[in-house]
Amino acid sequence: MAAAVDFGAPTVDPITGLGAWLSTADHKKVGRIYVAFSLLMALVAFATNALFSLERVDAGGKVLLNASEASQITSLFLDSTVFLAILPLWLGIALVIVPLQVGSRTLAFPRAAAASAWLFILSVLMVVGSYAANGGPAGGRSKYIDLYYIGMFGVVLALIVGVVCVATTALTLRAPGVTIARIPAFSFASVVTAAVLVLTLPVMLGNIVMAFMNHRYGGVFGAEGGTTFDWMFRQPQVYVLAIPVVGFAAEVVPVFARARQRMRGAVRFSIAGVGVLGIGAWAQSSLSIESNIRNGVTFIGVSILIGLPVVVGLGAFGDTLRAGGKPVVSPPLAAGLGAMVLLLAGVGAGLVTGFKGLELVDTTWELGQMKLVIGASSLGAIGALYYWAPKIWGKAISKNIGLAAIGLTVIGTLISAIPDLITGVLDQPTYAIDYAVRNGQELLNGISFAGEAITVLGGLILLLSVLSAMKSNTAVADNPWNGHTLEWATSSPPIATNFGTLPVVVSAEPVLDQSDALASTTSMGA
Amino acid sequence: MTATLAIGSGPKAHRPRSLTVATTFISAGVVALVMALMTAYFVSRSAFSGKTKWIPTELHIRQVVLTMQTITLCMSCVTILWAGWAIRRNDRRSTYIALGTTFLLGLAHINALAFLIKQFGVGVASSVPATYLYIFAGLDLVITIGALLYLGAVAVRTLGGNYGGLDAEGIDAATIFWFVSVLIWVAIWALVLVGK
Repeated sequence: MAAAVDFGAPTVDPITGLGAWLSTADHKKVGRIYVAFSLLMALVAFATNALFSLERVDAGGKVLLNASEASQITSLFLDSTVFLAILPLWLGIALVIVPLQVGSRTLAFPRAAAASAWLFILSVLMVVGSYAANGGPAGGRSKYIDLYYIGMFGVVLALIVGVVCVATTALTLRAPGVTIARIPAFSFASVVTAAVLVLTLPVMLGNIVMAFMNHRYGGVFGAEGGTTFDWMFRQPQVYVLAIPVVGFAAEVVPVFARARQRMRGAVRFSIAGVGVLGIGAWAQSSLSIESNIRNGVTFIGVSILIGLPVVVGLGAFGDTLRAGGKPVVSPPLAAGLGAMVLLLAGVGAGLVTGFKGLELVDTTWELGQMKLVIGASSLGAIGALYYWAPKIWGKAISKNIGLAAIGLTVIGTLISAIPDLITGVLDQPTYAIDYAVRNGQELLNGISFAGEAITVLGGLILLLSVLSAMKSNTAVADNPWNGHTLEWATSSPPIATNFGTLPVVVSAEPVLDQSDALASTTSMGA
Repeated sequence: MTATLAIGSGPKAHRPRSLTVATTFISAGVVALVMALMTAYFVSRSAFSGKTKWIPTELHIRQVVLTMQTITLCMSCVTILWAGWAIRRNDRRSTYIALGTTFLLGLAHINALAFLIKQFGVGVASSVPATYLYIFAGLDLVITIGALLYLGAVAVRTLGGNYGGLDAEGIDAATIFWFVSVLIWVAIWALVLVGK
C-alpha cells in the first residue's frame, strides 16, 4: 500500500513582480500565461469569424471587405481559433492541472515549458502583426508573408514543446500509488492529445516549410504552395480539439453526480478512440495521390467510426449520472454535458460529409460541422476554466455568469452552425463570400452571423467574469466541488511545491477515499 | 574510532525516466516531420510526367560522399552504444572517448553534408526536385546539429558527474535521438538520394 508523501515546507520565490513572471519555472504561472494569452486570442478568433459571417450575408460580397481582405480574415479566423486560442487554452489548463492531478510537485522540464510560453507569445505577435501589415498566407506584402510563416512555425513548435512537457509529467512524475490505470481522465486525455499532436503538428511544420520555400522561391511547388493547412481545421484532425472535452466531462460528471465514475474502461476507450481516429495528417491532398482524398473509403470509414467512442463516452457518463441519483446542477456539469452533445452533433454532421452522392465536401456543411466541434471544445474549455478556477487563479467565477457564458456559447454555436449545414446542402462553397443565391441563403447566412455574435457575447462575458474574479478578495475553499482527484487535496491556489502532504493513493479517487474514510470514522465514533 | 557505513541492498531507487520519455516524444515528432516531407516528395515525383529524368542532369549528387556519410554515421551508432556500455561500468575514460568520437563523426557528417549541398550545382528554385533536395539536406543538417547539441549537453553533464553506473539515463536518451537522426539520414540516402 502506498504511503502518504510529505513534500516538506514550500520554498519562497525570491524574485517578485514582472521578473517573477519572466523567469518563472512554476508550471502554474506558465499555464496562466498560456490561458491569459489564448483567451485574448479567442476574442480575435470570435471577432474575425463574426466579421466573415457578416460578409457572407450579402451574396455579392464586399460589404466591408474586398475579396483579398475576406480571404485574409478567413485565414486569420481559422489560425486564431485552432492554433492561437483553443489548443493553447487547453495546453494552459493542462500545464496547471496535470501535475496537480498526478501528485507531482513540479512539471517535467519546467524551463522548457516556460520557454514554449514565451516563444508562443512572440510567435503569435508575429502572426497577428503579419496579418495587420497585409501579410498572412495570401497577403500582398512579401516580407510579411514570410513573417507569417515564421510566426506559425514558432506557434506550432511552442505547442509541441508544451504538450511534450505535459505528457512527460503525466507518464513519469506520478506520485506513489498513482498508477497509469489511476491517472485521472483529464490527465489521460492530455497524454492522448499530446501523442496525437506530436504525430500531427510536425506534419504541419513540414507544410509550413514547403509553403515558405514556395513563397521565397517563386512558387516552385505550384499555386497552392504544394500544400495547404486546411486539413488542420477539417475532420478528422479537428477532433483532436475534442479529446480534452471528453476528459473534462469525465472529470465533472462523477463529481456532480456524487458517484464514482462508472465504466472507467469505456471512458478510456472513448478518449483514446477519439484520439486515434482524430489523427488527420494523412487527409490532405498534398500527401495523397488520390484526386480527392476526402471522398475516399478511409475518410468515410473514419468519419463513421469516430461516432463510436463519442457514443460510448456519453453512455458511460449517463450510467454514472444514473448511479449517482439527482446530480448537482452547476456550470461545469452543464458545460461538460453540453460540450459532449455538441460534439455528438458535430460527429453526426461529419458522418455524412464524405458520401459522394450528397456532395457536401467543400461546402459550408463542412464549416458548420467544424463550428460544432470547435463549439464543443470552446464550451469544454469554458467549463474547465470555471471548474478549475480555484486551482488556476485561486478564485471562483460567479455561478450565474458561468451559466450565462455557457448558455450563450451553446445557443450561439447552434444558431451559427445549423444555417451553415443547410446552406451546405444548397451547395454554398465553404469560405466564399461571393456566391450564387439559392433558396434564402442570405437569410440563413444572416442567422449564422447572429449566432456568431451571440458566441462573441458569451466569450466576452466569460472574460469579464474572469477579470472580475481576479479582482475579488473572496477566499475560495480548497475543494469547493467535493472533487475526487488529487488537485483538490491542496490549497486554492496551490502552494509553490503544489502539496504539503499527499493523501495515500489506493484508487483513482484518492480525495473521495479520504472523505469517505473520514465520514466512516465519524459515524463509528458517533 | 572510525565508524563503518553499511550499504544496504534495498529495492532499486525509483527514477523517473522523464528524459527518455520526452526524447521519445520528440523523436516521434521528428520522424513524423520527415515522413510528411517524404510523402510530399513521392507524391510530387509520381505526378511528374516529363520526358526528362526526375532529377535533372545538371543537379550533381556525389554518390561517393553519400556512401562515406552513411558509413560514418553507422560507425557513430557503434561509438554511442560504446558510451552507454562504458558508463554502465563506471568506465568514465572510455565513456568520454566514445562520446568524443561520436561527436567527431557527427561533425564529419555535417562537413560532408555541407560539401554535398555545395556540389549540387543548381539553385534552390531551379526545379521541384532541387527544392526538395535542399529541404531534405537542410532538414538533416538541423536534426544532426540538434543531436550533436544534445550529445554535447549530455557529455558535459557526464563530465560533471550527473551520470554514472547507476544512472545513465541522459546517455540512453541521447542515444535514442542519435539513432533516430541516423535512421533519418539512411532513409533520405536510400529513398531520395540513391533511389532517385
